[in-house]
Amino acid sequence: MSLDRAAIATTRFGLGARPGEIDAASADPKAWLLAQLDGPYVPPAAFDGFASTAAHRENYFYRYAEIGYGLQQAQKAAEARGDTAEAERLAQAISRSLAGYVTWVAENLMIEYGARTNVALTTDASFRERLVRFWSNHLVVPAIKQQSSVIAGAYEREVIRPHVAGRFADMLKASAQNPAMLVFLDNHVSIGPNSVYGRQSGKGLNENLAREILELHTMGVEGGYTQDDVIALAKGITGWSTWPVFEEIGRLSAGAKSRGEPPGSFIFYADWQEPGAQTLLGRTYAHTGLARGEAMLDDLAHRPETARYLAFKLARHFSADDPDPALVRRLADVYLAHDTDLGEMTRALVETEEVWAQAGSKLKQPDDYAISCLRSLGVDFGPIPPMKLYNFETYAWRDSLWAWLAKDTFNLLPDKSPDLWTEPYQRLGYSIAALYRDVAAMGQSPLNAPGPQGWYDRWSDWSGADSMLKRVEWSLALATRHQDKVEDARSFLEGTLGALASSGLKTEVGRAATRDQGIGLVLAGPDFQRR
Amino acid sequence: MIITRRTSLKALGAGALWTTLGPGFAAASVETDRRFVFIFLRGGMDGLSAVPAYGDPQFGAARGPLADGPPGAGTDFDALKLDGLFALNPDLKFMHTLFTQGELTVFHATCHDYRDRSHFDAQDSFDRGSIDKTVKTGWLNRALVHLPARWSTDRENVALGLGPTLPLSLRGDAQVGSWSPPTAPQASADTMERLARLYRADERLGPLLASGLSTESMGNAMGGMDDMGGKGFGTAVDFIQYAKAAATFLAAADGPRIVTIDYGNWDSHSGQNDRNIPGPENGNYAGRFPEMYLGLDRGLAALREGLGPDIWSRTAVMLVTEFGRTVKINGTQGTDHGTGGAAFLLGGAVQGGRIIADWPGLRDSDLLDGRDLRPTTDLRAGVKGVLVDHLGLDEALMATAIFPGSQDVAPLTGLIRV
Repeated sequence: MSLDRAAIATTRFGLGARPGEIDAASADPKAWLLAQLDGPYVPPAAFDGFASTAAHRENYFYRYAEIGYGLQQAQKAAEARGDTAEAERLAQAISRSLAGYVTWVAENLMIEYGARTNVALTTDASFRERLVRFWSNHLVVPAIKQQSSVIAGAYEREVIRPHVAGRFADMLKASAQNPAMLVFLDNHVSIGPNSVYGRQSGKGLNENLAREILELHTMGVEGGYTQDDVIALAKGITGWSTWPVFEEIGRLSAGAKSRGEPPGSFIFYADWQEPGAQTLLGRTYAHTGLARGEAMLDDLAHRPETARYLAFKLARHFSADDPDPALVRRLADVYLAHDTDLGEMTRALVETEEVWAQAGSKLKQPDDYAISCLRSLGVDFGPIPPMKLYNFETYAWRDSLWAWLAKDTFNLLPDKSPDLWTEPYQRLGYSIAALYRDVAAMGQSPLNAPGPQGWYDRWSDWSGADSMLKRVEWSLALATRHQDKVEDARSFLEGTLGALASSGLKTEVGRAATRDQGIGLVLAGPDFQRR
Repeated sequence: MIITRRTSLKALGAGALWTTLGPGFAAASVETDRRFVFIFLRGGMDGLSAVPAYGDPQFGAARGPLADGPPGAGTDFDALKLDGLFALNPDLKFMHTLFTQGELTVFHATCHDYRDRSHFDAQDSFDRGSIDKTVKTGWLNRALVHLPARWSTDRENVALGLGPTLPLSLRGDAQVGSWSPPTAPQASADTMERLARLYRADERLGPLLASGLSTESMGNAMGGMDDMGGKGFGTAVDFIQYAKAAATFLAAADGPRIVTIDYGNWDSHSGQNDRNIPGPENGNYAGRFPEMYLGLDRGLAALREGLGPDIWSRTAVMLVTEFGRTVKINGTQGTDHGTGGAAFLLGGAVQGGRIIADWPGLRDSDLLDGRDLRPTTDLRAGVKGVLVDHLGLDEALMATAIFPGSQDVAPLTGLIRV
């Protein structure tokens, strides 16, 4: 009995059993899950030395401005005085610096993806890690823009990880005040048209973040807010930005470092704030300064529409595509009764028998599927060195990283050499970049959701014929390359799917002609696609 | 390689095999030789940037620095003249050629019936063919269910979704295929047969794998897909590759006749018209939106080239987006979510060289909610016209099975050369 439940705990709530994990959870599967929600947040050691959003922003703008903008000014000056040779030399330096940076951005994303994947592959608290991924997808910052790509990984460390078992109100505030979210949804350059700076510059509002906070982060698209509410919230969070922003490049190059704030971090520009009281959802906010937007967000986090929307998404992820409305109501009630506490809402979820009984009702998403395959084999990338910040002066950052990235960690180097389309990946080496590419080919590019709505979470969103074929082909290749990790395919099946294996699968694995075929049937088979 | 797949296909109980390819099979009727490509430009393409209205006296003031040079102005990026009122984005040169050759129709001030400004709701509404969220299938899938029987002769999937995931428009009761570039080496036939036994017993996942294998073996048999191993970050590059793949599939004698492609990232909230000028101001976007137009134009050119003149003459390509964007520029040199926008219908089968627009004007009082281009042409009328005249669907289905509740929207006639 507890063996059955241990398999559900590791597969449905966790990220798939690592060798020995079902046994470890079997003493008390529910307690095994709940324990992962307890205690203070401890950052995973795999992220030691990784740069913060502020450090990345500081590097991007401060150094970019100092060197890139300086070069540009020098080039213009050289042109103006007719020194074409010097202007040409400077133009080349600028383009080299930019090209180097673009490559660095791609490699940084791979390093972040590798480290994040490593945590998922090695953690003993894979339920908590699934929650990190769930909430990361809720308040998502995808890598689609170059600027947000640089800090998407740091954003998850700073905004999501500390709060998955804490208050949503805190997570929401951390998100809306993180440079990654501000930059991704353009609020860092949203300026009150009647503010001091707005009048001076003629610049105005950008409602993007405010709209998505209402539509996607809190109340949901059916939450009943209006276009006027979007504008009110946008005005409420004018001046929420990060220093420096490109509007300030000129001032910056003139030595505006004297502002005194740590460069790259969140900043509130009082002279960008739209003056006057704002009315959001019938409530008037007359506060001035940072307090106005913070009060709006705190109220939004505590609204019943928000509770229902978050509860519905959580239930959809862990229970079923169309979760029982009674379950959603119960989770929402717990959320509201506990001051937006996500830990309490999650505990209520684990305590619900129906969620255990529906095991297998969810189709694993591709990233989830790949991670569960790799966990079953007990493999990981090994220690990943933190990315060094890009040096705009020498265009250099690699040092030993190059050789390390090229390691074929998962032993999956394709037989034929990558073609032109995959050339960027070839330059990155195979291990991390190739896993990324393969998961993307299954339909999900990690850390790069298609937009601020994140990845959808229903069976039909992931059940494409091509995606299924890509999963099967990838995991069969994986099984062949990693058969040395497994002594016997039957005990492998027992250790990774346990009681969730169908009798048909047990029969086929028992009859397998070779060890890798047996492992392949487990990983590529239909049972392993579900959770 | 194809042999191993044949074995596994048999084991899966899949339908027709993609084995007999070649000109000998291409003797089908004219009707079944028609091709339809549906391209969804996701993210809200800015209609006034794709098809600027230079002849409108308010245009210059409304668009300011986001406007390229008017046609003939002699700037590096002059818009391409269509008529006295409209022009095309300077990066849509191939599409402009199609227009002058009478193979491109432009729809403007158009939208479907969705009126809020959520990307995701708007896209889902279009894909479902209804703003009613209880509709669970896609409009194009329902169209497949009602396709005249001649379409499905000798082919396993009459429709194919290109991309790693199937768009909602293609989900539903009719079987459809999906395809994206191969990434892993193929497994042995023996392993595939054993795996097939497991999947055959699985009601939900079994048919998916069978269909995936079948389409893959078709891609292999045709060759020419070898340069497609993997998916890059650049959606413009992806789109060009998928357009080439679409041509290859559509040109095959027993291949699909209807293909969908998603082309995302049109959400231009900032730096919308930044071009490749090196410097910190542009480092973060580096001409991102001009690149989107270039990718669109080159992909469509690759599609025509890949199909060849004969098939092209029987092809219609519809391009839509979920909504247009605000008429005025926002605070960050971009535009926010709006309503009315532009759409395109092109191809050798299209009666083109026309602009279908009941132009609402750009004065503040003309705009929807004081901000958006007012939609005056229901985009579904255009889609209906294509379904009826190009795919041969019964007109009576349009307001029931395909776009439920759209009785007031009559199909546009004369879009297709009959």
